[in-house]
Amino acid sequence: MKKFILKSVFFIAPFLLMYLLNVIYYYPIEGDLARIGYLYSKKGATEDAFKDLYIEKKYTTFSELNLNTKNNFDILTIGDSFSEQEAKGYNNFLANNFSVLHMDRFLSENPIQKLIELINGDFFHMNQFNYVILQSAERLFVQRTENIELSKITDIQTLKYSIANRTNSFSKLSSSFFSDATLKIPLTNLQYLIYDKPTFSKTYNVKTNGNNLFTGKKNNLLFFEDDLKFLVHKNDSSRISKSNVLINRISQLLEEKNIKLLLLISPDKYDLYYPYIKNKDKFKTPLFFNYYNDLSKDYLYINSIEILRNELNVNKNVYYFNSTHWSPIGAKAISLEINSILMN
Amino acid sequence: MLFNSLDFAIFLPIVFLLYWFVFNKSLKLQNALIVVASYTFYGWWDWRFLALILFSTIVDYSIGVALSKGKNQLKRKILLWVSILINLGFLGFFKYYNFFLDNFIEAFSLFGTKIQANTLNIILPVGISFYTFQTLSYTIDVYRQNLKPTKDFIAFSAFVSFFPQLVAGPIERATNLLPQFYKKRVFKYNKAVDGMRQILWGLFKKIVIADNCAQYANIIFNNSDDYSGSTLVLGALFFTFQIYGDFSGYSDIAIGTSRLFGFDLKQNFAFPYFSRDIAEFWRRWHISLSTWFRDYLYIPLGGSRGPKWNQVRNVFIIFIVSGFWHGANWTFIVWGALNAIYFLPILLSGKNRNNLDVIAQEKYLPNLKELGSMLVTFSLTVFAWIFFRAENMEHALSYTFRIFSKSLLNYPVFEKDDSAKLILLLIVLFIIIEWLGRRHKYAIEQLGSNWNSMFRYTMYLIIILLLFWFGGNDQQFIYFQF
Repeated sequence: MKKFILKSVFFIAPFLLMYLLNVIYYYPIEGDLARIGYLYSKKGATEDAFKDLYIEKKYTTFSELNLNTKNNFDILTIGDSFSEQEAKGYNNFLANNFSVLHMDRFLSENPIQKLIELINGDFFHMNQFNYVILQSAERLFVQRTENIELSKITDIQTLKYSIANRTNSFSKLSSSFFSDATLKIPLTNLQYLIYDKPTFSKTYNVKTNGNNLFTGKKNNLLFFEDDLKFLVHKNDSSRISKSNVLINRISQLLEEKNIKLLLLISPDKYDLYYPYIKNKDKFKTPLFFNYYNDLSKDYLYINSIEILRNELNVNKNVYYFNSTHWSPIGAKAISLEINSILMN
Repeated sequence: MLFNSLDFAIFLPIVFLLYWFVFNKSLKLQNALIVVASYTFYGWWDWRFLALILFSTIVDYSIGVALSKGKNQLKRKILLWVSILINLGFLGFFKYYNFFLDNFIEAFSLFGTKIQANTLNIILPVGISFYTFQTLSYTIDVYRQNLKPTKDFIAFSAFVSFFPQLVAGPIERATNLLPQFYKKRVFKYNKAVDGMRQILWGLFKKIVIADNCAQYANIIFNNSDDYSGSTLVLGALFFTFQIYGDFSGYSDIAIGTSRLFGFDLKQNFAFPYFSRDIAEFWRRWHISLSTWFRDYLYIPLGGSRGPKWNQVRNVFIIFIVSGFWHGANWTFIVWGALNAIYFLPILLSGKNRNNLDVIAQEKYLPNLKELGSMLVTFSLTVFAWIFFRAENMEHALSYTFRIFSKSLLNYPVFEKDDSAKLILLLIVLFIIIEWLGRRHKYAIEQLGSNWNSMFRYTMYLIIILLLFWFGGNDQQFIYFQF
C-alpha cells in the first residue's frame, strides 16, 4: 500500500501542486498582460493603487440608449478598449463637464471604419454631437486606416439588430485541471527568471532604469509582444502619412455635419516607456509619434505621448503595471488635455 | 462529478484513504462508505435525483426479498412485473414522455385531428438508463433463480449506486458485482497499479482523443450545409473517434477506479473498430448493454432460433430497442435499424459467429482479407454514426446527401483545419497503440511491461503530459445524456 501511494503521489502531486500554484497566484481577470503572459501576480495588483476610486460611470453607452428618439450629446467617443474603461476611463472624466455618448466596442471592431459607416448612414441624423473623439491604440492605428471601405453604411436598424443579437466573444482561458495552462503557467514563470519573453508568453518583462514607474515594482516593465512586432507598421512613415490623409478626410465629412473630430491615439506601453528600458540593444526605437506629430492635420489632435511622458515625471502608475492600458492617472491627464482643447 | 475534474481528483484519494485505512475493519462499514461516497458523487450533479435512486433501490430490494419468499408462480410473476413497470415507468417518464407526446400529436395531425397537449420541461436524471437496467437485471435474475436475493440492504444499495459505474456504466450484472460486496476486499498492489494504468488510458481517450475530436466534429456537424462532402466525411470520422474515446474512456476510468477498491467490473469495449464484421463489432462495442439486451430481450424472444421471419423480427427488435435506449429521437432508432440491416445478412447466412477471436491473433499486421473486412465494417459503422450524431432526421439525411456529391473528391477544408491535422496525427498514434494492445483488456495493459521501469514510467509521464497539453477542451461525457 505504501509503495502504491508513494508512486501515485510521484505521478500526481507535481501536477496538483502546479495547479494549486496557478489557483493561488494566477489571476486571469487581472491585467491583460498578466493574463496573456501567464504571469503570477498578486490578487488586486492592477487595482490596488486606485482602490475605491472612480466607481461611478457617468457617460452613456450607445447600447443603453433609447434608439427610437433623437438624442443630443456634446461628445461621441468611439474607439477600442482604452475607451471602455468604465468609471476609470478618459471619457468618464470628460463626462464631468460634457454629456458623453460612447459607441460600444462590440459594435465597432475597427472604430475608424465604423465611424465612416455611421457618417454614411442615419446615425448622425438621429443623434447630434458637437465633437467626435476617435480613439485607437497605436499598434493598430495604421492597419485600421488601411483597406477602408469609404461607401459602406451602418444604419440605426443594423445597430439595433447587433445589440439585440450580441454574443459574448471573450476567449476564456480554461480553468480546468487538465489544461495546457496547468503546465504553461509555472513553466512560463520559471522561464521569466532567464528570458524577457518565455516561449508561450505574449508579454515581455524587461528591466528599466527608472525606479519610480510603478508601485512596488522597482525596475520592471511589462509590455505586449505586438507593441514590438507591429513596429513594422508603426515605423513606416509613408503608411503613417496615408493614415493621416484618411483622418483628414473623415474630419471633412464630419465638418459637413458641423461636428469637429478629435483624434486620440493611445500610445503603446513600449513606446511610452522606451526611454526607461535598460538594455535597448535588443529593442528598436519606436518612431510612430515622431512621424505622426509632424503631419499636417485638419482636425483636433491630442499629443498623447507627450502628455503621458510629462505625467511620468511626476507620477507612478501612469499605465497599469500588468496591463496594456493606462491607469486613471493617465486617463485623467488625457481627459484634462481634451477638456482644455474643447473649452477653448 | 466528472471523472476528468479536479473535484474527482480530490474526491477519489479521500474515499480511497478512508476505505483502506479507516473503514477497513468491517465489510459493512466499507460498503456503507461506498454508499455515502456514491450518493455524494451523484448528488454533486443534482442531489434531488438521489431520491429516485433510493426509491429504485428500496423497490428492487423489497421485491427481491418478496420473490425469495413467494412460492406461487403467479405472485412471483406479478412481483417481477411490478419491478419492471416501476423501473421502466421512471425511465419512460423522464426520457420518453415528451417524445411520445410529440409523436402522438404529429400522428393525429396527419389525420386532421389536432390534440392540445403540452410537453413538460423534464430534466433527464444522469445515469437513469444505466442504473435502471442494473437493478432490473437483479430482479430478473432473482426471478429466474439465477441469483439468491440479498438480505443486506447496504450491500444492495452499494451495488445499485456504486459510484465508478453509476452514471455511464458498464451496466453490471448483479450476478457479477453483488457477490463482491459480500466478500472482504484485500488491497492488492498489482491490481491497484493496473487500475491506475487503466484510469490513465481512459483519461487519455477522453481528454486527448474524444474532447479534441469533439471540437472539430461539432464545427462540421453544426455547419454541415457549408462544407464539402469530403469535409463531412472527416466530420463523421472525428465523431467516430470522439464517441469511442468518450465512452470507452469513461468505461476504462470506471473499471480502473473499481479496481482501486478491490472490485472487478466486466470489460465494456474490446477494440470494436478492429472488427471484421458487424456481428463482431457488436460483441466488442458497449458489451455490457449488448449482453443485457441479448440475455433479457433477444433470447426470451427466441434469439436466432425458429423460423427466418422470427429471426429477422428479433434482430430488428433488439437493435431498434437498443437505439431507442440511447435517446428519444428518431435518429437513434434509425441508427439501430441501420445496424440491424448490416447484421441480418450475416445472421441469415450463419456467419455471425465467424470472427470470435482477435484479428491477426498471432501476427503484427492483418492480412489483406482481414484488412479489407475491417475497413468495410469500419466504414459501415462511421456511416451509421452520422445518424447517431445528427440533430434530427432532416439533418442526418441532408448530411448524407451532401457526402454523396461531387464535392466528395474535394480536399477537405473547414475552420481550424490546421490545428485538426495535429489531432489527426494523434488519432493515428492512438490507433497504433490500440492495435498493439488489442489482445488485452485495454491498450496499455501490457505495453512496456517488459521494459526497464525507467522507460515505462517515462511513457506514463508522457501520457500524463499529453493529458495536460491537449486538455482544456472539456466536453460533457456523451453517454451522460443517455
